[in-house]
Amino acid sequence: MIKMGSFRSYVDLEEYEMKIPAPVNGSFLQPKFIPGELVIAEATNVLKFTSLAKTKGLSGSLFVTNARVVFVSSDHVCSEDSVPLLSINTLWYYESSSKATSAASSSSGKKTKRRVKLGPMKSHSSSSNTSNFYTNNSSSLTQQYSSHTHNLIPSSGSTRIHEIFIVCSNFRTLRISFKFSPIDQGLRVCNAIIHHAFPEQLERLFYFDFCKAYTAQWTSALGSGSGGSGGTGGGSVTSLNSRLTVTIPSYMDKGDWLRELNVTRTTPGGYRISGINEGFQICGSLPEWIVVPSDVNDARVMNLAEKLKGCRPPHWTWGDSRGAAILVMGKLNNESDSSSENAFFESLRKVHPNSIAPTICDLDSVINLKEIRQSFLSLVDLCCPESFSQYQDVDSKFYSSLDHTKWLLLVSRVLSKCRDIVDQLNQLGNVIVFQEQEGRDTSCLFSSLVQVIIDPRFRTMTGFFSLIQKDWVAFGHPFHSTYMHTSPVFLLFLDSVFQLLNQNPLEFEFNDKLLSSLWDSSFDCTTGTFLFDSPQQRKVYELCKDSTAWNSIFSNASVDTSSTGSDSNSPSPTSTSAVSRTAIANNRRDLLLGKTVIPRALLNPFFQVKSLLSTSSSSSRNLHLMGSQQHPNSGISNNTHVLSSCSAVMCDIVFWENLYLHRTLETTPMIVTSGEGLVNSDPLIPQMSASPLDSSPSPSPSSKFYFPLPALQDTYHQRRRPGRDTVAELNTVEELLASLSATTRFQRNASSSTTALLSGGGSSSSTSSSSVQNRMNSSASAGLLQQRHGFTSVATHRARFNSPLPSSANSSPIISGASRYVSNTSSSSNSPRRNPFINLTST
Amino acid sequence: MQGSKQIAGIHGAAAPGNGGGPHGGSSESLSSDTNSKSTFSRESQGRSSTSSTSHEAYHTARLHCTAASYGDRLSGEEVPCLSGEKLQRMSRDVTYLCPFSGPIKGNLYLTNYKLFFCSKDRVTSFEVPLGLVNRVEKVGGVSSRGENSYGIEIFCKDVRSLKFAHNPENHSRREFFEDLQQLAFPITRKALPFAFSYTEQFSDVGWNIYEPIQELKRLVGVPNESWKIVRYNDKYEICDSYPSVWAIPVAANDEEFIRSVAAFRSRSRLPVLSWLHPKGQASITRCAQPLVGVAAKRSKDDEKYLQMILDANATSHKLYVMDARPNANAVANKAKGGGYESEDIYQNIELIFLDIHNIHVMRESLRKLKEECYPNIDDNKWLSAIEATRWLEHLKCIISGAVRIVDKVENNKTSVLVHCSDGWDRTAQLTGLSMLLLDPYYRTLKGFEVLVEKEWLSFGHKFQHRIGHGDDRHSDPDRSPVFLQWIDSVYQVTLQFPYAFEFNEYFLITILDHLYSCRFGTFLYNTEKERMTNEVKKKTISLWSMVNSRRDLYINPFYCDEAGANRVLLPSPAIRHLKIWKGYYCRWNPRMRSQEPEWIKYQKLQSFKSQLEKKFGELRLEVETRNNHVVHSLQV
Repeated sequence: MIKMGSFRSYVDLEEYEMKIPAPVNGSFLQPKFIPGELVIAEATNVLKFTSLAKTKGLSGSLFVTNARVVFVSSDHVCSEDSVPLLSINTLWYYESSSKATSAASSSSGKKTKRRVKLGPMKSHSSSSNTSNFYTNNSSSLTQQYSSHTHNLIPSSGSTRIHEIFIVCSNFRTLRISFKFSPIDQGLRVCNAIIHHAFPEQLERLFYFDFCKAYTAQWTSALGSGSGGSGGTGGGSVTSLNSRLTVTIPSYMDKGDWLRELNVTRTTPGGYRISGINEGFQICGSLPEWIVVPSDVNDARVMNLAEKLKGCRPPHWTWGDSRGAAILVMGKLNNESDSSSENAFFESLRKVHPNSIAPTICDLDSVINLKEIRQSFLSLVDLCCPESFSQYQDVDSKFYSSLDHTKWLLLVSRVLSKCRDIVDQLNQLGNVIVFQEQEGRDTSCLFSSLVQVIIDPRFRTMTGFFSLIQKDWVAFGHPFHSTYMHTSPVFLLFLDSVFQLLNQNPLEFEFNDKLLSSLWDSSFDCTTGTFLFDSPQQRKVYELCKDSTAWNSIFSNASVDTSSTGSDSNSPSPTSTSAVSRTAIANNRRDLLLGKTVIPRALLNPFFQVKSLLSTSSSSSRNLHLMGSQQHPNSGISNNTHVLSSCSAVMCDIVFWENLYLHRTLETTPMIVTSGEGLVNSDPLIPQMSASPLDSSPSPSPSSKFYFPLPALQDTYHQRRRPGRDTVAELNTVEELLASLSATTRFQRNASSSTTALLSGGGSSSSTSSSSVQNRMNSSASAGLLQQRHGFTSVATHRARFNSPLPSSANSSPIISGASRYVSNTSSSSNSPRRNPFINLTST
Repeated sequence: MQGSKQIAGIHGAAAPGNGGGPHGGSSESLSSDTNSKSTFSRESQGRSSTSSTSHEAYHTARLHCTAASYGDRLSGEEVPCLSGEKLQRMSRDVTYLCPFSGPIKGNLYLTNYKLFFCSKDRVTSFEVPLGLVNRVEKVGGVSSRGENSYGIEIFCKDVRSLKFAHNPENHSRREFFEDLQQLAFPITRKALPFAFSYTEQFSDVGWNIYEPIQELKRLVGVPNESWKIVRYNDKYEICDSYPSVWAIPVAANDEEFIRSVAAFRSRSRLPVLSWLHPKGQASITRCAQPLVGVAAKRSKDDEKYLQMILDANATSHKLYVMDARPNANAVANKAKGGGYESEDIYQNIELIFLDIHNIHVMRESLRKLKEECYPNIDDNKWLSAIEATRWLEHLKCIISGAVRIVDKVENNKTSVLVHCSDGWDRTAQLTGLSMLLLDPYYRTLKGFEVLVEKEWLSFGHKFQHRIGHGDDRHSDPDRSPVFLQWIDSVYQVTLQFPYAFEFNEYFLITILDHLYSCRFGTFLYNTEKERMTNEVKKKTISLWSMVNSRRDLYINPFYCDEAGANRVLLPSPAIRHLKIWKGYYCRWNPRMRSQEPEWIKYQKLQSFKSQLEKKFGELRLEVETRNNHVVHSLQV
């Protein structure tokens, strides 16, 4: 199956590339549908406003489907702007009843602004008291909020909705005016959103429609033998078609845990894998296999679990050879009866090599969900201004408002707690037990964050994914019941990682775009990863096992960066297609070799350079065994792999502008090419008047914008900017690295006297390296990250790269970091612990 | 060059090119970087700052540089000295009262350049150039009780204040205090600042960086058909705060006419050319306010002259006059004989007020900011506190004013005349920043130096008065952080466009450090005329000499050379996109991680780059030799 899938992808990618968007007649606009997507309501002749524009909007049609709210513009070919239904946080609408208007007989019809807070229908156990704070910060506005059922807007008489403003939990906004659309369409759209955004039953999620349609499409595609239909343009669908895959262990199986124990080299004999939860006998929110101290037998685990909240037995998640370990457990139902709990702690002490008693860390006293929720909602309010005037009002007191949201303070508190815990683990080699109500909210946050700080394995892309899979997904963080809206613990985690990333720019394989993509994918209704509450639910409902958030993030990122030229009218089509062609060729090669393709847009280039250099600085020629990959064997002194900086001081906490600000605002700084004009009047937002009314965060292709902030270059919503951009830069850097490693591989082959290859590839390799040298030279003058590249040289390089390798690769296939790591440890558990740190250079 | 070598060592084989400059570690910069070096060395020892215990130690180490920074040179009682620096006084048994790690016992040295403290165990040492001393106060009397309550407190022009406790028994305080007063405030006692004694040799002569005529030529080849270069002011008679060479419209062909225009402008600072658009003819000119007064005086010549500036630009029929002040201040200035151009009288102009407040408001704002940053930072209301200082709001006004100018010049192809009251504070901020945004040349290291020389130094920003070099009148109302504010706004732009600038944050910090240090002659005196009279170029060394001979320290590894592309930057001035410059204001606070200065990161990256290149070269060579070998063996 998988093979077929990956085969099919090439065809599709190519089709996707070659497809020239045909101009659509204004009369018939349709979004590109995701499989299984159905239109519920639609409104024609709507105007979309950028949230800050004071000018007339962009005209088009609005569709509410079972998956998203999509705006399709009639002005721009293929211009689409959509928000997933699940991400909608608040729906504002302006209604007026024509009765009032006629009674007043004035020109200004009385408009009332109302809002509907959207969210999950089922109230999560810990979020039942939500309604308190929803009502507290309204000023003059009339408010409607219902915590459990979303009341539809009554369509009595002549109520008319003029305008809606949608605020999403991923900090996107959509502002639509129905001024020119048929009279009842606005209301219908609103009600469709309110009714369908958060279905009452799990089974009615779009995910299931998608899976059905997807499987069907698959079957038919297999039958006909050709690729899918042409109408597969949307990000998520492309993701399935292009199928950039990454293999992340699910942590649902015994093998995954066994490997985890081996990899971490946790105190031998200290912990064992228990099948106590097989068939989810004890609880559905934990995997069937868990790791417990070997001193505690299943009966005792069972006994203890019954006394804990949520009946979740304590479980191990990380450890090291010195005895340090992280365990997670819930709190006792009955605090007074702590005997079995104490007995458990005593067993933990016994399994510790130095018999040190575990440190119990009560997380309820550190941070609580209500704080996070409250803080998050005010953050969304602050960062998604509805109008330009609101934007300006907010601006003068932005920092104090930001202070009042307390979001950064929360991040700081989380980090400071983590630092303390890391000290305990790292310096003292203690066992840490995280205790929380049920042990599935903030304990996920802390346990995973501590692991990021302490274990370099989790700072690679695949490692980070598997960390989330392990500590969030497998341990049953209630993603579904919260839908992220009401307790965005996950966002707090991502923000904390963002801080670490900022403070240690050379230590992470990925950049902050990956983090924000993770936040986006938690609203993605085409993958099951973040859609469910517990492993049990997942086992029952997860239909498309291969449609994971990880794959989707990878694919979206590579689509964004490589092939968006086709749908964004890029003014430089030649270079764009060259880039994408290279990228595709690249991907295809990597796919053929079974290598994990990490989209460049998500990579932190410095990490690569660093690992490459640390590799080279070592004397040995065995590239893949060196440098950062040599893990500390043991010994208290060696803590060089702990992140060196983890400052929790407020002044060091950085506001994550890329996620919180740049998605809604078009006020990004910019560069214009001199003499090519741009008219504007307002100095506060210079580009406003210049920017066409397209509210997609990246400026429309017709404008003369050039690269702004590097961070902004990752404007998370597609589209290459003309001129320089990160993609090109990342491309170059990776080309550079790939060339270097290619050269090295070649050398090693040579040294092992594969003369055949040598004589075959000798000349071409030297040409390729000289072309690289040229680029190196240009880089010397222009700086590491900013060479333009000659696509031709890249292409020739690729051509060479493609030809000799697959034939010679039989001896040394390029294995992905994760799978290499898997194969190592499973084959011999005693093999030196190897870090899946970038195996770019390995063969 | 111990410091630098140390760094190179830390980065492994990082930067062979970096180590071993010709100058002593202390000569590169102020104590700031010696501090940071020690920080870095600590980290290199594998200590993690994540631990609470090591965190404390880390703090201590941050503030005070370890003796290692000075290495073997610090033997005995010796103080590391610059060339031309002499030890003047030494005070034993002095306790430095560190606000972060408590009292530290040691010796305090005083030279003609700096104050140097070294702890007994030689672990802690730091220096403060005397130019930074704003005010010295005695604390406590001989009879005052309690340990460490008798001593002096030194308030610095950067945010710091340092407290030293003297031993009451050896009566060293009085002498030390008097010496310090003498040495720190040479101007007050009619002596020369240290820059005149400083004799270090640099490979580059920074005084040559700015040649006014050459720079004007660079701008569309002035003199051209619309602009000409005149030397009416070569004896500084027309305007004593202007440079000797100006560019004015060709149409103004009479010196008497120019004198008449100058007479109508405050301090005779008449409109002259700052910048000319390379493609269009739109210009940026600068001047002081017109002497309108309450009587609404007019000057036909001034009106004619503005028309000439307008006419020099054929692409537009309008001239924008940007008055940097708030409207109310401009009106209030009429009472003092100043005022603004009336749109009724001046034909074809449009007057815009940019709402930038005066030097007193800025001084007050910075004072509040300093209070928030030193010595203690309140985590719980950090952002609110920053907002309350309104510093970012002022920056926003400057940036948005500059963006407005850029917009008019770049997009409307209209000439802009900028002035404030006297045309040497806010005007320099606006013209300087808008030129930086418009012209990629000024975004290079050299170009920026030219920009500072031109818009700030030659046009007579009163550095002496605003900074108060060697002057003990610490509450002088003339003092104001105008230049600092401008550098801060430049920093904000670099944050928004990290690829667009050839220089890095450390360059900006270095400029600010030496703005106060009096080690270089660059920022001494108020005007070009004073600098000529005092032979600054002959008798002192330029800051740019030091900078240009150690370029590697100040280069931004991300810089993308867009020269020729004429990219214009339009930063967003919204406050949410501005950030407090922690690397400068908070650098003395050891709690901050940002103590690890950006420039170390830059050096790291730079060295990565060079290593990558080196590695590539090696590999390529190897491949080639091997190929040759194979080819050879095949042939055989």
